[in-house]
Amino acid sequence: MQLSTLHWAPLPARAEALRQDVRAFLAEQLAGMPAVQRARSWSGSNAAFSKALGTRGWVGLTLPKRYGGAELDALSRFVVVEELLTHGAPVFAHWIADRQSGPLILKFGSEAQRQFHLPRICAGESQFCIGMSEPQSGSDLASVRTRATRVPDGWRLNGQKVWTSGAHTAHYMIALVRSSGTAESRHVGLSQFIVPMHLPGIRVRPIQDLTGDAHFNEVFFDDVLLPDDALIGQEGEGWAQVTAELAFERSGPERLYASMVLFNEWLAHCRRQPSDANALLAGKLLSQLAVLRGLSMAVTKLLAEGGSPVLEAALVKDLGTSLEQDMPNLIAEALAADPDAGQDPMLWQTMAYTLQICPTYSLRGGTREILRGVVARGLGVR
Amino acid sequence: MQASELTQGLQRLLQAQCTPAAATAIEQGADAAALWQALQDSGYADAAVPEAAGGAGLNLAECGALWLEMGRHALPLPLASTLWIRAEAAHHGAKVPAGPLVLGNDAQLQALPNALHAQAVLVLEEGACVLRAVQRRQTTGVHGSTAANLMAGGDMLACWPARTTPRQAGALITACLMAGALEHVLASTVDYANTRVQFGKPIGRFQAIQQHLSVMAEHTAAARMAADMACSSAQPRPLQVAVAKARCGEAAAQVVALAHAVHGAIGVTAELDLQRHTRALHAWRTDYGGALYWQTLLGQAALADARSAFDFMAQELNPI
Repeated sequence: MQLSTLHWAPLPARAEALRQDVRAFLAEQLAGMPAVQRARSWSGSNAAFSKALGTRGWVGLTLPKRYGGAELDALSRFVVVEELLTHGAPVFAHWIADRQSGPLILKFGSEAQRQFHLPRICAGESQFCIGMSEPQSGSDLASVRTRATRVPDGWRLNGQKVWTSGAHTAHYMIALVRSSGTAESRHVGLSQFIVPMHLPGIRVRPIQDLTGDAHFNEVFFDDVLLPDDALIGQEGEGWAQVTAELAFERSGPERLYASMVLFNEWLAHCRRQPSDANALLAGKLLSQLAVLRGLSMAVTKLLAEGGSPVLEAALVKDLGTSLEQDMPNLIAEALAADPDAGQDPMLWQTMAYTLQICPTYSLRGGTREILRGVVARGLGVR
Repeated sequence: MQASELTQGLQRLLQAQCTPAAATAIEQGADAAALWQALQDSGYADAAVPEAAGGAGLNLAECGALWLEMGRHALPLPLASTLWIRAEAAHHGAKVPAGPLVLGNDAQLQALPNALHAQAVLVLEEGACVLRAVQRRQTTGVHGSTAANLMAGGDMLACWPARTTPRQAGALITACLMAGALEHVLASTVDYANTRVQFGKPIGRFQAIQQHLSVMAEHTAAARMAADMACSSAQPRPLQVAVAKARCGEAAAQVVALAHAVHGAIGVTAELDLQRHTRALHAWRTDYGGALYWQTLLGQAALADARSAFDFMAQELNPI
């Protein structure tokens, strides 16, 4: 397999047409929210905001109308997500459902699962989390040990997940677990289940991160009884399904704008105190960002045309998260370049938060090191 | 900026005429007249001259595809700049002599790429593009370089208003040449990693090498996109040229270093053709303003603007 060339193509007018409406909505919703809070866009969880967004029809945008979606393409979603992330909207309450659980249920779910879950996702009311990593299973995802055992009328679930973002507020988890064989069976014998998080035997313990936030969790399953219809897709096909799911997770504009609130605040600061050094850094970051946007749009276009640009998405994600991490590092140095200058406390806090959290950018959705292996194979390394 | 029949024709021509041996001989001072004549006879110098004036009437995106191809072959003659200058002259109804033409770095005439073979140079004088005959040329003393320092003051051969300055045109063309050369260097390096065996297996099987190759691919894709974007408007837009030249320069710095790292010592020998492309890439980084120059220019425009970072980028730097 070879990487395809990613060509520039502007966003179609039907996609751009959404931008001003979303922007006006955000101006109202985010009024007065401080920058350091907007910088937490990914982890910011606000059920009322997500529901309001769903009411406007901007959650589950790509899902069919018969399930409550807008039946628009991936490039339209690109515009909505660009606006949400560059303004620092609190997206977490609908984020996972919108980005990957909804498309996964549409692709692999039964008709009953689609009819139950998709309208709730599109309404912005249904929160999902992703049960992939385990204490002994991170990048080596095929080694998961959490097990679903067949019982009359369903399955019994035992085991543990970790680093599960949003498990403490989610209504459902889509969990990758072993339904047959042993950890040594690797990709064979894995299945995905939709686990209602209120079931007896589920315990969620938040893990505090280095910024003081607690957005990810440990999740324990102790003889949890799942109904038959909790299985999504085919038993034993979990690996193929999860690979498709990760392609949804890795493509799109969410892999270049994580530090955008900080960048924008810093640029505004520089306009009040212009200097040659700041102009140079602004130009460097803007030129890299503009090119990444072009690449990200090209990957999304391949997706909208029905392709599965797994390799291209991995390449753009690695490049994008590198810039997302360079931004806070370089801006911190720029702010500290003149020790005699006073600092704007809100800009300083926003810089410090982004600098602390930015190592996660190249961990979530596949680590940098794993992605580079994916890219190398795409280049035809034998 | 996608490959057309014209691009494929140029590819065949360069494969046949601009062989590594022929290009190396020209770099070492051999007579370039035969290769130039073959290029001239092919008609590519008039590719962007309007059809009414006898050219092929290519738009900027189609020219970009040709420049990429010239970069892939590290062509040591100024066909790319000749193509640009002849098109601009024809657009303004000006007549220019047949023969190799180069772009000045506006008024600065030092170390102009491929100028050893130039018959005339386009310079910026009081806001106008002026084509002047080359009187004296001097080598730069850089090994294997066909760049030259030109003396100002030759006869004026043609003149037109500078809607694009020679430096902007030079930067745009150079960015495209770099993107093409980077694709070539990446492909050569992947081939080498698949064939060179150490510790009983191709070195491409080692994760350390795979990490290098994928970083090379990322920067190459970025350079290609940057060149693609800058060629997507009808006329070059200065801030988009700035993005392209800066980003391709950054990419070249990374990719060249990693390509040599993967190749080991054989990569720095005169024998391997890799060095012709990596030397060219380093030279192109500094031609017509390097990354720092274009980033500063771009940043100054952004600081003088009032729009958000996102809007400035989406409206000024991404072509619409």
